[in-house]
Amino acid sequence: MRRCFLKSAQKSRYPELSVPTGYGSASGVLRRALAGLAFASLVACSAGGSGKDPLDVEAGNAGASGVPGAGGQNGGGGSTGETIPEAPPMNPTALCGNSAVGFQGLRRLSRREIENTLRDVFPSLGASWISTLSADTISEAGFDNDSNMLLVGKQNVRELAATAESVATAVAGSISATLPCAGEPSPGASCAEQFLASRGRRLFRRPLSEAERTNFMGFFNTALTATANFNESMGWLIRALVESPEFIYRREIGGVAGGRAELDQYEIASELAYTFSGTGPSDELLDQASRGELNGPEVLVGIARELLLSPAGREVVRNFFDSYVGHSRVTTIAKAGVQGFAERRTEMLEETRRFIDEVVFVREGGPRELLTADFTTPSVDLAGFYGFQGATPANDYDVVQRPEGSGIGLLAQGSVLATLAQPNGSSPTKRGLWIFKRLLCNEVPPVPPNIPELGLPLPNRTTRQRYESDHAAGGCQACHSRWDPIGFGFEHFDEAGRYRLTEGQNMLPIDTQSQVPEQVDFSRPPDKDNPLFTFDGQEDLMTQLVEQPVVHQCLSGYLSTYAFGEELTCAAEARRTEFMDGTIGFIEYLASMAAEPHFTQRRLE
Amino acid sequence: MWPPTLGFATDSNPHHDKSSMTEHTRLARARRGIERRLFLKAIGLGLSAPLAWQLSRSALAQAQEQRPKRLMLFFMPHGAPPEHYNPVVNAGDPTSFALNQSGVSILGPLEPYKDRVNVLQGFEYPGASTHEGILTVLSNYGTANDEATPRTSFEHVIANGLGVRPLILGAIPHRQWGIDKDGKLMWDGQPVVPQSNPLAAFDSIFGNLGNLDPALAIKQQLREALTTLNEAQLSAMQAELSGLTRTRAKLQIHLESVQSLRAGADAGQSCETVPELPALESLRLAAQGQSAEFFMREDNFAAILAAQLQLAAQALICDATPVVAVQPMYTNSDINFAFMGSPGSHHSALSHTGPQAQGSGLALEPRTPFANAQRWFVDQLVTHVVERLSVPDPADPGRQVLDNTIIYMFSEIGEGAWHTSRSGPIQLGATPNAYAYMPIVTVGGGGGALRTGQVINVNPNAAGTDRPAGDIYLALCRAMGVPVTSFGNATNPLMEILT
Repeated sequence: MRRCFLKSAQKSRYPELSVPTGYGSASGVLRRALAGLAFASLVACSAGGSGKDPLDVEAGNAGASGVPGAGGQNGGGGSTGETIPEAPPMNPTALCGNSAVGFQGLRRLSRREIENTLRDVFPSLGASWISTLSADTISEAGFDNDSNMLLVGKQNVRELAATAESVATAVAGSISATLPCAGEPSPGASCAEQFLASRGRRLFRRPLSEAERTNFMGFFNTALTATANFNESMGWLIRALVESPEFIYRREIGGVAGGRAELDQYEIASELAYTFSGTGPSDELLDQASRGELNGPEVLVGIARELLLSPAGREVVRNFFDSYVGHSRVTTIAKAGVQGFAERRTEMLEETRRFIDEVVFVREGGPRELLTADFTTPSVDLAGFYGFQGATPANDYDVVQRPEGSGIGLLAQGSVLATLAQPNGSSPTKRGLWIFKRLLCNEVPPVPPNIPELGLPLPNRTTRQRYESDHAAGGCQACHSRWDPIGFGFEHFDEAGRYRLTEGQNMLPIDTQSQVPEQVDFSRPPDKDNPLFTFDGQEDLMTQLVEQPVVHQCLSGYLSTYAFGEELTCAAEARRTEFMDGTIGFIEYLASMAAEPHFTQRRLE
Repeated sequence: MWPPTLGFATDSNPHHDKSSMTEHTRLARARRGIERRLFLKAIGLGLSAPLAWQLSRSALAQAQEQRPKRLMLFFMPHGAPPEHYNPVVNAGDPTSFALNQSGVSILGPLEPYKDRVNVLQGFEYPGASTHEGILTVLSNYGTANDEATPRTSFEHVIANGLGVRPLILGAIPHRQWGIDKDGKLMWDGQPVVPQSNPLAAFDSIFGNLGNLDPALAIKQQLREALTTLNEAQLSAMQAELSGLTRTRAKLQIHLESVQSLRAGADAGQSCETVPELPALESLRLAAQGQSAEFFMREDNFAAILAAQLQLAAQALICDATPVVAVQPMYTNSDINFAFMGSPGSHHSALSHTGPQAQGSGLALEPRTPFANAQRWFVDQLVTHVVERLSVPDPADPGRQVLDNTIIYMFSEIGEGAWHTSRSGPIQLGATPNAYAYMPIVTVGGGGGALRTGQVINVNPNAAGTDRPAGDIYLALCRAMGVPVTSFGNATNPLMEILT
């Protein structure tokens, strides 16, 4: 997303940063969402509940514009009639020196965060409990936690209600196990108040206000009157808490001070907990907030580091790489022509997760180690599947040196290579494109119409020859000449991620000499005689790639985008240079974000 | 059954000779006969001819209104090669056609049902280009690559209009880690994520069958009170944060969504026993002990789709909801179709296989694997849905469920390799070799509201201008009793498919 190919530039909202146009799609989500509100309102009036005959829709003209899109020549306006300010466009590779600060707002918890929080607050749910929530919308950057994408639409509301009911059913039936007063004879409102004070604090991540206590207890009493059953009424109270917007949204509002908003202690506690452990703050962290102890960079970074190193924190880091790389998809894909792939694919994912753990947590590495590590962590069977000679671990997922010439780093992982491949062959396009987008941060234009077909595999033609020939046709070359050459470096790896010396039954020689093309905009093809660099094979490619500053800028930009859950440019600059030059690794850079201005402050709209 | 009572005749034997054009003509005459009888009856009451004619139409409409009406959407991703898809129309008569004489005949499985089929051609998806059409195809609204503008696709327009909740099912309908623009096919203001797990969907529909809850009224009251409590909290937050426009917009969407809980009925149904669905029960066995990821595994795709289709059909039969949709895959999905004999990724290998000239037409062989894959979708639809709906309608025993259903099958693009969003020639030489249209088919009588057994091409040979697909949606909304006046730029219902 380094929109380096776009020529025009507009003045950023950041005075210190000028960025190209074409960004800001996420902000557009809300702008356009607001534009459609008027129509959603009309649907609510016409679609049931109102007693209105559906056939009145036409007569009343509600159908004509009663729904967004249906009769909706309705791009403008909204129920509030206000304009949503544009959010700053995001550019992962921009280097600004000074760290930027985002806007105040509410942040909807992601499905993952909701589930983690509920399991923590209600341990009786068990570790295997999952919600009925659908998959979240993923952002252009590929993450499921972008606050601009996470809205609560009609489907979410219904699913939240079903999730709340599921929690209530699981918890309320045996509530005396965790709420002693519920086991006493004739428990009543005072027992419910105890529950509300403790669990409500965890769910809302702050003590409830007096008004909130009154409202929730009022609802509990209504339920108790109606059902005459304490446990059932507690179930309704739990449902009310889980469905509450105070649970669903994290507050990042703060109080205005000196032209900016300073987040309060509880908001900081929430931010620490969700950013670095993917779940809500513990009682201990909330206690620290209540005592006003969440102050100062050292304290905040120390807590962030501690959370990152916890099991929950490790999951956060894993989720970043799952989203950034996409390798977890390996467990869902099929390679019909590869014997044993279905049996090994889950192990491939585990191998990569262990590999990342080793790089990130054990060796405290950064991008250089991630991309060029000469070890991996396969299961015993997986080492056999890959054909590793002399590199079989003593135990599943032990660290082993990769065999000489069998690739290095993350992009030699079987899960990555198998995901970035066709079902029945490798894919220089998919592999090259991933680097083009995710390590070089380039924008890819929309797929054009009229794509000529890619020829079928032929026994006397290598994959590279086929791609070079077929993608030279028509307009293909204009784009494919930018990433296919990068992907040719991986041709010693087949569609299942196994090293191969030759290709196919005819044992065709594999040519991995290629180049990372010149990085230029799409107004002209890259100059073959002036590449970024030339290389021979995956190891040479990765070794030279990590010397490119843009790779480190790109990866650090994605990392801060994920951590802050928002497409912000330059939100984590303080220690970015150290991360880029290898002085600090992933964990220390992530933890350093707790000391960034954005962690405790917000811009005013 | 003869004479027909109203609308279409019902044949309890789904395997009768439905290809007979004589039968179709007989039905058309019968329908006209009914209208004429109603007209004469009105004349007999002393009404003027124009008014009597209008009233007879009105009486017909009223009779249709009383019949059950159901809608099912079925997505076939990545278009269709025209040389294997286009129906063969005899001598320019749109009611005389064959679905099984085009290459491998993607629509061939529908040939036995063609008197209840419409093949629609000459329509475009405005604002769409390539696979991103998935974003706008069903709402006829939005612009290319626009995944943010709120919109409502027509099945949700109908469901909202009827005050019911649709059943939206999918078979690996989005990427494993979330839904991106390639999966945003159906919208209800915001994108709707299909239920990927047929077992969960089945249990939610049929799981409590027969278990009458004596405390249901109390629960409904408390649910109402909880909704009120949520609304109050949201309103209070809006007031508190009124200066933050983006936050207020979020809360407004949330508030209106909470309010929508009051609209839309929970599934009520006519079935009294839990139905047995073979594909679903097989899947249940296979899924035992598996994690949720089981339902996102590509090698389970065919089994999941079969279960979802049987579930969709059963939900319609039982009137659990009158609106269902099944979304197999998402656009750009690269599931390997080796399981049905066409090895290769569905999107980037099969659908991207381009046309090749042969004489004045197109060679059949190059795209036979892709065509077979697309025919497999149609075959699944026929096997698991059309045949299942060819049973007496519990809500209208004199007819079949299929007579009271509209199945709408479509794709997000036309020509797979050329990524078309409108009609056009496939021209590889001096003259066109073939014409490609958006694949759009209806099956079923729509409770007497649909006129079927036609190939309707509103832009023959792409010589003129396509009509927006929204014109079809306007007609289908009207057929379902939820007339709306426009979908995006579409304001002209396709009357040719309405009785």
